[in-house]
Amino acid sequence: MKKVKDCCYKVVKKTNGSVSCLNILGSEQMEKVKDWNYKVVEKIGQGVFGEVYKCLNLETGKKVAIKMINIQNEPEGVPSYLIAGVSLLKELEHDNIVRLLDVLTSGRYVYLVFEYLDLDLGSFIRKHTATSIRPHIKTILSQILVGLAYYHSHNILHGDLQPSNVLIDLKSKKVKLADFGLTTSFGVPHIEYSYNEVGSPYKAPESRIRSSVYSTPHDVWAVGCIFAEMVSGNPLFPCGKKDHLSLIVRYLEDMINNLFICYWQDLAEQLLGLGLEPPGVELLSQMLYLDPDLRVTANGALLHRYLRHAEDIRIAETVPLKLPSSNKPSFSQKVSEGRF
Amino acid sequence: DKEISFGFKRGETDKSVMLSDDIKCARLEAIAWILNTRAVFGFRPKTAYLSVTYLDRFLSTRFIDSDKLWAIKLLSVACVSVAAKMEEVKVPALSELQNIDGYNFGNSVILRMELMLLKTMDWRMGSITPFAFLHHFIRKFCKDSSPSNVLPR
Repeated sequence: MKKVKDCCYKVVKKTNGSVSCLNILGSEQMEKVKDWNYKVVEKIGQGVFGEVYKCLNLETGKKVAIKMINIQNEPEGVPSYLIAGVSLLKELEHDNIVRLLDVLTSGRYVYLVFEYLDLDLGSFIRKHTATSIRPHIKTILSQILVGLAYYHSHNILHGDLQPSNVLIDLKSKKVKLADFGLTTSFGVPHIEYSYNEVGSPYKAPESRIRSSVYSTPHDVWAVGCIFAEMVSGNPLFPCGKKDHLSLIVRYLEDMINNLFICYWQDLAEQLLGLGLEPPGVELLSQMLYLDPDLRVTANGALLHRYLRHAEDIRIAETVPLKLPSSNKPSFSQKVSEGRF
Repeated sequence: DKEISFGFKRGETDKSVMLSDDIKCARLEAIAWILNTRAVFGFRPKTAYLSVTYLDRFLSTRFIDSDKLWAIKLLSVACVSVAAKMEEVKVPALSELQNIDGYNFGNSVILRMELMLLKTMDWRMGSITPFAFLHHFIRKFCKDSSPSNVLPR
């Protein structure tokens, strides 16, 4: 195993005793960040556009996520999604959105430095029970919506909302939307950007039925799915054999409506049983409206009576936001368990 | 706010006076090349406008020796390429851009210039242009005709 370490691999011990190897450095190119005073901690993801590493800023001690992009396609130069995407991200400055801190270049590599928080909503949900998470739901949901409304007000689609892209800072009690892919603007032609929209369980049904234009209601649908997941503890439309939505989508559109109403009634009862207040069920139903044109907007959802006082109750003033079990999942653990 | 933050460094007008005659000539030549290139590829007017903005923003922040005028040619290729990527649906390959008027550099050189340009502009490439307001004004002034008839986007 020692030998493995020599070739830039990090040996990660899993909880069940098995050992897995992570290529922590990916390539020597990532070593470059040392010159800018960053230390590579571990690789946390591999996207269509590049690799994402968790790093430490040695000057400030802050954690960052660095996305490394290799410009391979020389005949085209710097790809347009990168120019347009970074220009957009540079414009965004909001409490509920992870910041793009810096853009570094070296040779034909571009490094995007993002703000980073250690806990994501996915693991937050898994660590909580239905009862212990309940006091946090409103404030987390409203912060997600505030962030999303900000995106939409800047003509930007998130496009990949899911619990692992919602980061939580326990200290400042802030919820931040992250997207280490690149967000797409709907002001510019964006067909070519949407490579990676295959089979996410947070994808709205209309995008599966017809190849409709990606638009703001898709994001709201995803928030609805996240909302339900916070209440029940399980993904609303899990991937795999029991993919309710795929099942539904096979029927004609009007059939879907009937089926969905049945499904929805079951679900609503179930969520009410889990202690969600009736206004919450109402809001969820508006966010999961099958017709994207009738689906509530992020701003509309914020005005819903369910969230009327949510902004006053910042997480700080509610029950202290602590994980019930003390063992916070380490990132390497999560990566090795393939939960990323 | 956005306009100011995107604008040129303060005192830009003084600086442009300070630009040497050589640079001024090269700049005019570069602008002529940009306009010609726009016509050849049928780009939108906004693409040419953005290219010239990038060119001037770059020249106002970085100094180019008067004996390195070829650098301005290279810069204008990078400006057009980046502007086209911001604005156009169909972007020509770098080699196609160079085929006009003996502006011949090589893809990897242009790639590096693009990165340098982006870095100099702090990756803020989405300047506000007068084109954003045109539709609004046309709607105000000519109530009967829809803007799309008067002006192609």
